[in-house]
Amino acid sequence: MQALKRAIWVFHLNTGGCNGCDIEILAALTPRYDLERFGIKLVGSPRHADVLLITGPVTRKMEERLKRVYAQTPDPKMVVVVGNCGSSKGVFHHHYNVVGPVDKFVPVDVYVPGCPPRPEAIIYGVAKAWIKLEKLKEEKK
Amino acid sequence: MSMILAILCGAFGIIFWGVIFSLLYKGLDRKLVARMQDRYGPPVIQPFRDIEKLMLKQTIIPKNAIPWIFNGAAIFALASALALFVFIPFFYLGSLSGADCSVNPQLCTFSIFPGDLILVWYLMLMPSLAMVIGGFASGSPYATIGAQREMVLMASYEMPLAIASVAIAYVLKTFSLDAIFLTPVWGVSGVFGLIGFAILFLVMIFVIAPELSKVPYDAPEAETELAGGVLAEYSGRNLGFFYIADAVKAFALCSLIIAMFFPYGINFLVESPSLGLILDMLFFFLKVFLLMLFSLFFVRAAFARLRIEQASRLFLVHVLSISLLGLFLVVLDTIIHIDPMPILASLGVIL
Repeated sequence: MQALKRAIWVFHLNTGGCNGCDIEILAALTPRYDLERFGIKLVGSPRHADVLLITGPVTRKMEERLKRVYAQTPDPKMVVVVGNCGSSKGVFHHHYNVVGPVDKFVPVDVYVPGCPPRPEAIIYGVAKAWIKLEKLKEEKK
Repeated sequence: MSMILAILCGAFGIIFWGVIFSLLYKGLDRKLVARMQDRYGPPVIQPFRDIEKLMLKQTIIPKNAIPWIFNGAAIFALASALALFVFIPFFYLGSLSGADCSVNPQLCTFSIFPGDLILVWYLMLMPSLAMVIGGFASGSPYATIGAQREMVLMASYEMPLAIASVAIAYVLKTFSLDAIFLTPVWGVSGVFGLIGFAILFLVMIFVIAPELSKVPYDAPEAETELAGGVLAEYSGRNLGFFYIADAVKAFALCSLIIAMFFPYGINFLVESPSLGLILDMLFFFLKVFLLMLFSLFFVRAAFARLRIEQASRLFLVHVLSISLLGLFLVVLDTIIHIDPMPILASLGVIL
């Protein structure tokens, strides 16, 4: 389990956001913030991922896809929601095509608020994602 | 009986250490590329953590996949990559093996089994082939496109590789790796041959990156367009097997090219054979590092991905014609042999 803490592979999924948070996620990979020094790596397939980094409120079309991507990720997995929209629908609250925040459909472990959150906050959120594992360990005891 | 036991122990030992060094070189790759991009980069032992984590993860077999081919391909890739280590001569073992090198030169190199170039090239092909089979068997459109690209790439780079191997075998009249290791081609060829082999050496350096599907020839595994390509559906333990196989292949390919073109050691600098062996080992790791630095690390940091048809054309037209020129010069050398020594002497080079 110690290894999981230090080699977190992240899959990034946009469920209908405005791309603001996605740009901040990319900023976290740049030389200034450099996620890779913690062993955090962005991967292209949910099958390789440990952490799902989800941005944006869930639109009607993305609901099914979100559930599928969550099911495709191998255990143990963590979900981190980046930005206000994913956490609470944000400015899209009364939208006709938004069906809910991310935690209505999949269990969420870490919320990173902000519109958009700073890259430091995103790095902190991803690094915090392993608290779920600690919780699981305590439940076993 | 004890002979068989010794060979088995040697084989397992060399595979164990080979995997450790392969993963270290992979870590070095990530660290150095990060430094070149002005990032701090992950620690050098990061690949070990990745492997440890992948082994702990759940291994999902997709509904559309054919399970035995899907799992078998991962094991097959790892097994054939590991098998490479027992055939490649790494460095000169000298008198430590207790054999008289002038009588039985095979015992003085570090390959456990006497292999030849053709066998090693086929083993080198196997992990890519397993990836193609696994990609098709995983029943995902991304993996299928990735597998098709991998096959196109394989068909493109194999020809220059074969030409370089054939040129060496043509001059030395053998495919045996031990013989190639003990008789460097530079010592036996004339002026044309030297130029030809220099060209072929450059071609081999050029072919390292596509052989390993690394940037800029990583179209089969394109993360941004193909979601990981051939490996898109692999997870957990299976992905870990492919990860190790990839690292092992990089190390084995570089060692093989060194054995073919630059097998020289530096044990003549010291008197004692054991100290000489240690020096040879360090020198060998330095050679592998330099080869990787110029063929993989710099290239990865500097270039973006080529489209598959650009990569294919590059190898089937340009690299292939350059390697044919190299082969032509090597063959010409066997017809018109010009001794390079007087020319070098007249230029003032004393050997």
